[in-house]
Amino acid sequence: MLTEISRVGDIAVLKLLHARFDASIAPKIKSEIVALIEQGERKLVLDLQCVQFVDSSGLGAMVSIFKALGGKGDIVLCRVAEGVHSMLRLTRMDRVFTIDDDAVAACARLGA
Amino acid sequence: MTRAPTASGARRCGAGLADVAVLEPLGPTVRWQARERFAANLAELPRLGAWARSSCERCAPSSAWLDAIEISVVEAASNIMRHGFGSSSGSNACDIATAGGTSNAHAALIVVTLRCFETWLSVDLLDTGRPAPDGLFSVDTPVFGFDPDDLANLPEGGMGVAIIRASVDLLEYRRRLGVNRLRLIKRRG
Repeated sequence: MLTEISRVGDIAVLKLLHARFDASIAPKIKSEIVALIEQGERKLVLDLQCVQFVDSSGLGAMVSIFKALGGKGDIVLCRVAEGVHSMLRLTRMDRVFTIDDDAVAACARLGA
Repeated sequence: MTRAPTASGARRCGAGLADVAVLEPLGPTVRWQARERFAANLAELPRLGAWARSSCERCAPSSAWLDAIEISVVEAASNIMRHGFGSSSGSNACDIATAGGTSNAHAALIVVTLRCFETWLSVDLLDTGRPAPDGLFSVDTPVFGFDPDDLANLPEGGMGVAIIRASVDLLEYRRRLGVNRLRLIKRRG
């Protein structure tokens, strides 16, 4: 299992369960989450508490998920480890994604 | 070939690609060395990254330095697996070997060597996959120049080499007798 899904109202909270979000699993995670979007999900919280490492494939998957919302929804990251945050800053992806400390704050931002 | 000493005591020479400098140590003062083989298969990427990180912990001046080493090694290996051998999630080494131009499944390997010197770490990734495209490691590779507000044009890939360049001090690629060698060098402290 790659993700654990919970709900807060109309918000899907997706907790990634793998410590390494890299090219070995990024395509599968992307497919799973894009499928949820195609089923109608529009507000997503990506809980990265378990994730200690993200490579360019993991970043690309997150961008693909964001694009799949097509401007009709939103995604917020939460519980981002410092090493992952550094990677987001290095690639300027911290200017693309909104990052909150925890899922409660992320859901509040999305209007829970 | 021009040679000039650097502050670290190593010589800088113009061997290799015209836009890449290679640091050659004046003397063989390797503090430690570690080498491991990995199948050129994306399923090996987590083990490769964890091995690189744990091996370098003994000489890491900071956790940020260690993060940089880990990401650069993983990105380099990922590129080799995907582009040098045509690996994708779920494919196996036997299929990859043929794509890499070899007929021996056992040749679909990446050999990673870590060498810690007094003031820097070198990482060599050797493989027998397809050669890297000309100019891939050029210093002119654009770095993260996207508009964060332009959703449609946000990059979904192609950031690997830029990440490597931003994470290490020197990068050298060469291919000889069918073997690719990607060398990454990062100063320690």
